[in-house]
Order: sequence, then structure tokens, then C-alpha cells
Amino acid sequence: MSLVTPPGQEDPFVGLADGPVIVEDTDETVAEDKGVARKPFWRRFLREWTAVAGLVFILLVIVCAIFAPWIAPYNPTALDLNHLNAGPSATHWFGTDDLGRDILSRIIWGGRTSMRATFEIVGFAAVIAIPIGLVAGFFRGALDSGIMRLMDALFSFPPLILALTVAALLGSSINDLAIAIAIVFVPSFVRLLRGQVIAVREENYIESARSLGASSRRLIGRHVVPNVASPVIIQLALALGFALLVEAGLNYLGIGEQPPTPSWGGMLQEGFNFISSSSWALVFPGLAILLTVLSFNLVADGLRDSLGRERPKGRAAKRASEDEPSRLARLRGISPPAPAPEAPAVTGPLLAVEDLRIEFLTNGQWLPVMEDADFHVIAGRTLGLVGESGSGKTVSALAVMGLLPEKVCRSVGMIRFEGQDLARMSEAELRKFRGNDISMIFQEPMTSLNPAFTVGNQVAEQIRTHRGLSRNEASKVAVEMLDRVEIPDAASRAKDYPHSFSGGMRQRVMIAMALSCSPKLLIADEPTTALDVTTQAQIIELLHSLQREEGMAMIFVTHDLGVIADVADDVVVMYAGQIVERSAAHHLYARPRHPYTEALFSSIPQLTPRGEALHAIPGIVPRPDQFPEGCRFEPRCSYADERCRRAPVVLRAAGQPDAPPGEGPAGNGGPTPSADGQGTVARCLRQDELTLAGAPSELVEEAPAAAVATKDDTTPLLELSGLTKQFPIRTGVLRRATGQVLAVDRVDLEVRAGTTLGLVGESGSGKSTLARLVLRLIDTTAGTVLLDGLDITKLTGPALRRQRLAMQMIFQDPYSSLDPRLHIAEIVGEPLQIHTNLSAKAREQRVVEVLGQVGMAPHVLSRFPHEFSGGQRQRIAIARALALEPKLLVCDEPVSALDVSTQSQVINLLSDLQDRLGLAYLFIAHDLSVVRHLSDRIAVMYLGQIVEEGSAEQVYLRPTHPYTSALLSAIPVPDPARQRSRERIVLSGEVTVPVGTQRGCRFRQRCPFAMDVCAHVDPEPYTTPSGTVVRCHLHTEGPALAGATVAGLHVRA
Amino acid sequence: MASSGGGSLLSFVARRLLITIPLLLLISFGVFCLVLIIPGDPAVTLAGGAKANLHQIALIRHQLHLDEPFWKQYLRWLNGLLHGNLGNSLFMQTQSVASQLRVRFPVTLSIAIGGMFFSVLLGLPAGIISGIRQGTIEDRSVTVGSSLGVAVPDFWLAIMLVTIFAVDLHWLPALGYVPFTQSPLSWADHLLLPWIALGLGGAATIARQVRGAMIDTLDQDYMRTARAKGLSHSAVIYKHALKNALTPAVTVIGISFGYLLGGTVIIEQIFSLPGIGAYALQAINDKDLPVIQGVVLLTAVCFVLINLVVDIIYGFLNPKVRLE
Repeated sequence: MSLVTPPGQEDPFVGLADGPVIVEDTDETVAEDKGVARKPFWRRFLREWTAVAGLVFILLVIVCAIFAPWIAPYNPTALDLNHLNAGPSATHWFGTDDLGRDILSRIIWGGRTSMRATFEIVGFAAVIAIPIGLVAGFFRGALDSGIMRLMDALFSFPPLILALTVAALLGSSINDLAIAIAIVFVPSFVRLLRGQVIAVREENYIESARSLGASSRRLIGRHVVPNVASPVIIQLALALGFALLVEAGLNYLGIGEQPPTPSWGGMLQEGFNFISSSSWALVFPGLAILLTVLSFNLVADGLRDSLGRERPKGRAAKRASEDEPSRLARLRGISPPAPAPEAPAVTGPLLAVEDLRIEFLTNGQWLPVMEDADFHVIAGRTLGLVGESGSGKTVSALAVMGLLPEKVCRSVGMIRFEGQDLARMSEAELRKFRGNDISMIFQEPMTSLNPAFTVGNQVAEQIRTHRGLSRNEASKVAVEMLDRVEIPDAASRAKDYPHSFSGGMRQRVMIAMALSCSPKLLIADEPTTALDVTTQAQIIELLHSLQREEGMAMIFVTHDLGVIADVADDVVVMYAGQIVERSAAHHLYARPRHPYTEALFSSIPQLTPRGEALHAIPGIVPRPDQFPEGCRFEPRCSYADERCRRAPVVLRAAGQPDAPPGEGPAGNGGPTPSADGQGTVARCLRQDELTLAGAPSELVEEAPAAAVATKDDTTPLLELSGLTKQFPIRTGVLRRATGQVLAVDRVDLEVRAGTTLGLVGESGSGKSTLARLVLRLIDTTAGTVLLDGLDITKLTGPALRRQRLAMQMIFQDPYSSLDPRLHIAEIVGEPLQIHTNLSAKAREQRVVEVLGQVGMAPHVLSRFPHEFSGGQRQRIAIARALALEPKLLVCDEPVSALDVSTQSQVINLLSDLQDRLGLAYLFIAHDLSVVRHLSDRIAVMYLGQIVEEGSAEQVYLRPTHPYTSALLSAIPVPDPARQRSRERIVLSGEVTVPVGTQRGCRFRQRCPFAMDVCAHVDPEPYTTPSGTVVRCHLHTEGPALAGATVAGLHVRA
Repeated sequence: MASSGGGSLLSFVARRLLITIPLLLLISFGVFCLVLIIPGDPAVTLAGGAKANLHQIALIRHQLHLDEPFWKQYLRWLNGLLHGNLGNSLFMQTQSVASQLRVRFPVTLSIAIGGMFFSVLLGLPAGIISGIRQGTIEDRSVTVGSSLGVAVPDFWLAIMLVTIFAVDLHWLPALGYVPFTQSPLSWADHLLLPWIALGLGGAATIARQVRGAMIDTLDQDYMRTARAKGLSHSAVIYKHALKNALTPAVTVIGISFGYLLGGTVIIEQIFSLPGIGAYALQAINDKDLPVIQGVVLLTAVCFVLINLVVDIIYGFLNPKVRLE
């Protein structure tokens, strides 16, 4: 019956055992050696006993049907007039019907008819629907919409009536009946398959296969079909049950197999004619149908549970990739330590967390994700929790709110808020605190608001719950709150639903909600991680000013040391489920006491001169089941020695002896804020002997001029001129194209052989579209892309595929860029298979060679992508790109999904490969400091246009466009003193959509220097004396500002 | 990002209506094309195949205008259709198809809508309870019950109900129909068993869907937000979860209606109800093309209209859909 359900909704029984949502993604911590041993599909299937029972029953029915002549005790049409309508007995197990025929024999023979028809129906339907669905989903366009309209029409006929009519008009032989019923299944099969194909087509591994030059046939056969197979197989199993129901129904109505040949439906019909006398003739055929259909459904459910989980699809996968930006590392320059400015006076702790231990149930095992956590939050101050993914920072924050998922999570310890222990409270008691005294905002503003209610409603709801206001009053207060968080036009926006707000605006709504009951403590869990750097600056500014007005305390969870420097008074650094260091913020940045803290500081990209390798922490964060016995950071620590391995290390203050757990200073409370660093504790045996470096005091200014100069002499490898891409805007009832979005607008750029061009801009600026145009994954509207002098916008077919070989792409999401169904040897070997005639052996040699280039050992060849961490997958993707020796790599945010410590490893790899292989990079990122470290030249993109392009040092140190300058100043500096005192341009407003007809400078609404001329005249590219090309009237039309340096902006007219 | 214009419920409804018109045209064409799948010369086959006499064949050819070009036949038929004329039965020349449908459709609608109500009233609460109380006894009984409910053939269920409640226990009538206008009580009395027989499968499907949607919804980030706001348990579940969980259920309800409409054919036969199903069955046995076309068209249009309503409710529940 679940044929009736549209794709995506049809699996009510999936998701029961899906892991806890709130756990931080521990994928990053998958160890290479141990890999996740995944049980083969059939073994997972065999664990579902109901499905196995169903399968056994179906096999039994099939065996009976095939061997009916030998198994059936009687001839199904033989009359026995002495036993009419007999009940079950030793001679007739199921009794006899009104003509004295043996019911068991008739059911066995009837199964022959019914099972054959059932499989024929589904077989026919699959043969018709699968090609249609594949074609429609893969090629889209007019063909697709034509097919789908047809399917809609076909779907509009009630299934039984359609089958009945077609069967009646066609005639009544069994094959015709099967075809007639098959038609009923076609539209739902096509819809399901098309939906799946479209979803798979969006995956990066399809795009990368296309950029490898794979033909459509190869894409469908090798990548699409294997990845859509599971849902189709499940749907086919379900369809078998439903087909049997329809077939039996038609037989009951006398269509199809005719009496006296037995069929289950027909037997029921004959029995019904003698309803008062032949009840056994009615019971058993019905039971046969019921049990068979049930068995098909059980098998389908079992397949869904065993096949379906093989790869995280749909929402789960999306969640994983949405979580990825959390690893964005935005760390930046430093200056000498200074005392924390204007820290509020200290009183007793508002919140005291002591000996908190949190465990998660993973594969039937309770594993600790946080151990003996101790920290205090003092009224009015901000505590920063910092750490990489898997460190336990988010679970600690959730534990304070009592929001950990109950079934898979347990915690012990004390959480005292104003003296009351929240950990001992019931859910009902906790509710009085939640949203009232303690509020929380979350990482993902896009999914944290309920899509079904207006934002005003959602803010007002909380006010009514805790402040007892009437509906009307609460709505008024809600609007006031929305106004306070600077949502423009709050009164009318309150009536809108969340989907019409941008990410930044949604986070403002969340803040309005959280602050609506004047909480004493606000817990912010990575509130700016999913946002652009400019929006992040706005949100932090807002939180700052609200905190000043309200005097509330904050717990600020983040992985970003720059953000921590901006907001936190005190900092707790977490690693692998433990606090490793706890200190006052300014002290931590000046004199870290734990090697991990030092290592985090030294991975900051722009503190290392270009051409030198970044400091990278080797290895990856261990998983909870692989925590080392001794110090957890020991395997990655450059200071570790013998002692560190022996026993767990306790948290202690400087100079104190290592005491056993419980007697150390751990229970003595939070870090005291005094400037001399008293109260600083660290979990390191050698903290007294080591002198660790803080965030370095000197920013690296100019790169060696020589290096840049030599590279400039090389010839252009890639030249873009006038490159433009328009997308139609469809509005109104008829969805007509009423305008054009200029996603990429007249872009001129060049990348020289062996050099790197960095491309930066906020999301929505058109960076990724530009990358896809360069690789011609999408077609251009106008302009040319010259690769080695050849215009690839005009090429088609094999010529295009050949030319594309010189370019390869690396995607942001390492999870979706490798086909989960192929093993590493196949993934990396695919380009060789397409373009070369190498023997299998030669191919493998080459694969091993490129894997070696990215630092992967040959034994990974037979593994699957899910066995690797994000950083390792990114290496594999790079290896695949290198297989055919390209000249240019287009890297679309290749490190922004990675953790801080892994990020440096990949950056080092990329710059190493460039030196060795002479590769050119078009490197797209929103993180200017990473871009600066890797790039020779930087281009800044805003609303489809390049607004500034110049040498990396020029653009970074002497920005000439107000937008560049704003982007730079939005990046928080990992130094509390400097970050809080520096002059900044905080951009107001948000990225809009560049409409074709718009005139004037696109940045003018957000530009602090906008002039009259900016509204009317498009600024043309202007080359400054230093060689930077900039699109801004300040340089040509703004004599008043000429030569001025305003907030870091260098105007040199 | 603006919320005006494209997002309003009104323009959404207008857009849905506009999509429906070509769909209905396509359906009418499909229904008319049924004549094409008749093997051999349609006039001969319809007149009874080999045993048909020439006069009858000529009559049918003339009545259906089978000698005209195909597109002309369709336009003529469509024109009639728009004037409420579906032609006459091939075998009872005096009987117009439209008039028969008018008399019989209320019966079928009574069965289908009653069955729908039964499905929703049973399936919705069962799904909600089972989704909220995952893993409990209630959940398990709903899960097992709905697995059985999905698998049970509705006509067999009908037969069993008749055997038990009408034949053995004599609690309810086994056959026949009393119009609502004549005696509402007696009307319900006669339809109770058909409603249950027809609606149980739908109830099981809805319960499964709602349960899945509920579990899915409880897993969403905004549910954590709702808890973080300090809302009561009932506000968290019945306000924040329910509206979101019901959204997919609405679609399922619309689609099950098509199955209910189809199922009436068998149910009407078992309970001897004078609806369009029984009419269709007779016509199918006689290969009475105009009647078949009339019934198929009517049920398809009915299904499309129900789904139009469902889409609009969906748009109301889920503001995001309005933007498409």
C-alpha cells in the first residue's frame, strides 16, 4: 500500500535508531587504521527477524507454486461430492469448498497464478519506469517536464479503476492483466526514481566525474544507478505486495484467470456466492493473500533498514554537510598581550559546573564524550568554550540546559545555577529556568526556527510562557524585541515565516527570542559559525551591546580563537572530552600552558610567511572509544615524553604537584579573572618546564618580493574575459522569466602557470558559479574562458572533455565529492580509465603514485570513502584530480569544512604540490587569511563582479575597495586587547541579488563612503599605481578622499 | 527574500488552479484514448466481436463517430463533455451516461468519503500517539496493527465483516442502500461495514506515515529550540511538532482517496450498492465504451479536485511550499 506515498515520505519506520542529533560530528575522528568495519548488507538484513520471517514465507509460497503438481495433495479441480463445505480435517487440512474441492490444493495452485502475475506486474512496471525515470531525472529540461506532466495525468486515475478498464478493454489473458496493472505502478516508480536521480545528481562526485570528462552514459551507469539502486529495490519489494492485492482484487471481479483454474481472488469470489455455507473457503485464501502481502512488506522494511543506512542520504547527509561550516577556521594576526579591558567586577559564580561527566550510547556501548568538566560562569562575564569537533564543548553547553537527548545520553555531576543544582531537577522544574533565567541560541539558524509559525508568534510564545502576558501584550513585546535586535521593519516582519529570512536575520530572531525574558545567562552554541564573516561581525557586535545593556552572563561555544578573543573574558579549552586549559582570556593568548593551545595558535595561517609550511598538528582527534590511556593529546604533541603515556593527567594550576583526581584544584572553582593569571589550570604534566608561545606578537607583513616577481613572468594559463552568467528570475502566477540575475558579471581574470589566484567574497557573491563556469560544468551566457589559448566555451563533446583534462576541481564538502559506492582505487583510477588505455596494472601503479603524492599509503586502495576522515577524503579527492597531471586546480573552499588542525595539513599539501608539480590554483575561499597564505594574487568578488584584484600583499595590507576593507576588518583578530580596541567597518545590511537592470555601484547601499555618482554610474575598472585593479568611484571621482586612509582603506587616486 | 507577492496564499491557490486546467485536459484526452487500446476494429469488438451482426457494428460506428478522423472525434467528444453530455450507453440507447452518473455518484461518494473519515479518525491519532510514544506498548500495537492493515485485502475484509456482523450476528444489514435523504440512520446502518472495509487500509497507511513524520519532526533542530524556550511538554508536542508532522500526512490522505475511490468498485459489488462502481463493472463486462469513459473520467476528475484541495491545505500548513 505504500505505493501511495510520494518519495521522501514513504519510510515511517526509518530513523528510529538514527544516532543522537546533537552529538558533535565525530566523523572527523575516524582513525585510518581501524576504519569503520561495516557489516555487509545481508548480515544486517539477517538481524531483522521479521524481515527474515517474511522472506522465508515468500520463498515457501514460491517453492509451493513451482512444485504445485507434486506438492498439492489433490487435483485442484477434482470434485468430491461426499465432502462439500467440509471443515479442516486430517484428509483435507484446510477443508473443502462448495464443490468439495480441496482448499489447500487450490491455494497451492492459486499461488502459481498469483505469484507469477505479481512478479510479472512489477517486472513490467520496472522495465517501463526505470529508463523513463533515469532519463527524466538526469537530463531534466523540457523532456523531464513533459514526462512528469504525463505521469501526473496517469497518476490521477484511481489505480484499481485504471487497471480494471485497461484489462477489460485489452482482453483478459494473464499477460494483458499484468500489463494493465503494471501501468498503475509506472507513475510512482518514475517519480521516486527521478527524485532520487535528481538528489544524486546534486552530489559533488557527479560534478567531479563530469569535470574528469566522463560521458553521460558513464555517469548514469557508474555513478547514478548504483547510488539510486537501494531505494528502488525497496520500492519494488513494496510494490510486489501491492501488486498482489490489485491482482487478487481483479480476479475477485472475474477479470484475469477464469474458473475453474484457481486463483486466490477467484476462490474468494466463488466462496462469497455461498457465503452462508462455505466459511472455510473464505478464510484461507484471504489469509494466503494477507500473509503474502505482509511478508513482502516486512521484507521491504527489512531492506530499508539494512540497505537504507548504507550511506547517509537526504536529511542525514544534509545535516552532516550543514554542520561542516562549523569547522571554518578564521584565525588571524596577533599583537603583544595586554590586560583585559574593562572586565566587569567579580562576584560569586552564577553557574558552577563541577565533575560533569557525559556519556553517549554508541553501538551498544556507553562512551564518555566529556569527563570531569569544571567551570564557573560569573555574572555579567563571558566564558568561552573552545575546541575542535568532538571535543565535548557543545554537549557540555547542552547539559547545562538539560537538553541532552535522554535515550542515548546520560550525565552525572553538579550544575549549580544560583546555588540550585539543575542536574537534580525534574524536567518540569528545569522548564522554569529554560528560556527564562537561562537561554540558548544555536549554531544552525536555518533549522532552529520552526518553519510552520511566524517569527513573531515564536518570540511571543516564550514571553507568554514565562512572563504571563496576554497574547496581545506578548505580540507587542515580541515586536519590540525584534526591533531591539535591529530587524528592519520589525512590526511587519514579525508576521513573516522563517523561510523568508536570511541566516543572519534568523539568528537575530533567535537572539530576540533568547533575550525576551531577560535571562541571567545566555548560552550561545557556535552562533556565528554558519554565517558569513561580515554577518558574524554584525551578530557579535549585537551580542556585545545587548550584553552591556542587560548585564547578563554568556557561555560562548566556538572553535574560532578569533571570535573567542572578541567575546570571552575567561576561556576553557577542550580536547577529546576533557578540559585541557582554563584561563583568563588575555592570559591564555599571551601565555598558554597547554601544548594543544599553543598548537592551535601556531596553525593560524597568516602568521606564517608565504612559502613556508604552516604549523600543522599531526594526526586527528581520537574517537571516544580510542582515547589514549595517558594524556589524550600525547600522540599529537611535540613535547610528549615517556611519562605522558603512563597515566591520565589531571587539571592543575602552575607549580602545583600532580595530585590524584579529586584532590587537585579541579573542584576549586573557575578561573579567577585577575590579570596575573592566578587560577589558570592546565592538564599537562610538563606545564612547569615548558615555556609555550602564545599567539605570536608579530604579524608577517610583506612576503619576499622576489618570489612574487619571478612568478609574474610566467605566461597566462587561464584567461577569463567578459565572463557572464545570467539566471532568469521567475515571478507571478505563470512563473515567467521577468528579469535576469547577473550571477557573474563581465569578469576578467587571469591565472598564470604555477601561481595561485585567490577568490574571496561573501556567500552569494558568485564565486562558486564562476568556478563552475571555468570548468564549464555550466554554460556561459557571454564571454570567453581561454585555457592555454583555447576557448572552452565553444567546445563540445569529446573535444571539451579532452580540454577539460588540464583542469580539475576540488570541492568544499569532502563527504559528497567521493562516490560512496566505489573503493579508493576505482575513485582515483577513474580519470585514467576514461582517458587512457593503461592496463589495469599500470593504472594501479599510477594510482599508488598519486596517493603517495598526497601522503596516503597504498593499503587504502580497497577501502571505501566512509572509512576516512574529512581531511583524508580531501587528500583522496586531490589525488584523483592529480591523476591526469592537470595544469590547473580549481579549489572551491577546500579546507573550510575541516577542523583547525586538519586544515593546516591540507594547506601545506596544496602548497607543496604546487612547488613540486608546478600546478596553478584558482583558490576560492571566504577566509582571507588562508587565501593570503596561499595566493600570489587575490580577487575580491561582490554580487557577481570583481571589485578588486591585485597582488596578495597589496590587497591584504592595502585594500583599495571599501568592500575589501570591510571584509578584512570583519575577521576577528585572535587577541583580546587588539580585537576590542581596533577600528572596524561593520557593514550594515546583507548581500542582495544582482538584478540585470540595476545601475550604479552594487555595493553602494552598504558602503560607508557612497557618493551621489555611485547611484548612477557603473564604476569601471581602474588600475592604481600599485597595480591593483579596482571598481570604485572613490579612486576616480572622489578627490575629497584621495590619498586618505580611512579605517584601513587606502585611497590613492 | 521578500515575503510579499509570490508567497501569498492567494497567488499560490491561483497557481495551483492554473496547473490543474491543463492536467484536466490531459486526463480527458487520456480517457478518450481508451478507444485506441481496444484490439482490432473497435466497432467490431465493442459490438461483441465475432458474433456481432453488421447492423450493430454500423450503429456503434455511427454512434461513436469512429469513421471520422481521430482529432475530430476527440473535439466532438470534448465539446459534448463541456456541455455535460457524455453520450449514451451502447446497449441501453435511451440511457444517457451523465444522468446515470448523477444518480449513482452520491452513493459512491457516500462510501468513499465515509471511508476517508474512518481512515483519518483512526489513522491520525494512532500515528500521532505511536510517534510520540516510540517504543511503548501503544507504539508496538499501532506498528503491528498498521502492518496488518496495509496488507489485508479490502474485499476480503468486507467479506469477513459481512460474514461475522451480518450473516452470523445479524447486527447490521448485509446488502443494499438507503439514501441519506430518506433515512440518515438507515443510510449509516447500511454503509458502516463498507466504510470500515474500505477505510482500514487507508487508516493503516496514514498511521504509518504520521508516525514516521512525527519521529522525523521530533528530531528537528527547532524542537530543541522549543524545549530550550522552556515550553511545556504539551506545547512542544502539540504546537511545534504536530503542525509540521501533519504536513506530509495531508498529502498521503489525498493520495489514499484515489485508492478509496477505486476500492468502491469491489465494495459496491460485495454490498450490492448502486454506485458508479457497480455501473462500471457492468459496463466493463459489456465493453460499453461511453459508460467506461464516463466513469473513469468522473473518478479521475474527482481525484484531481480532492488533491487540489489537499495541495491548498498543504500550502496553508507549510508556508514554504507557497514559494515553490
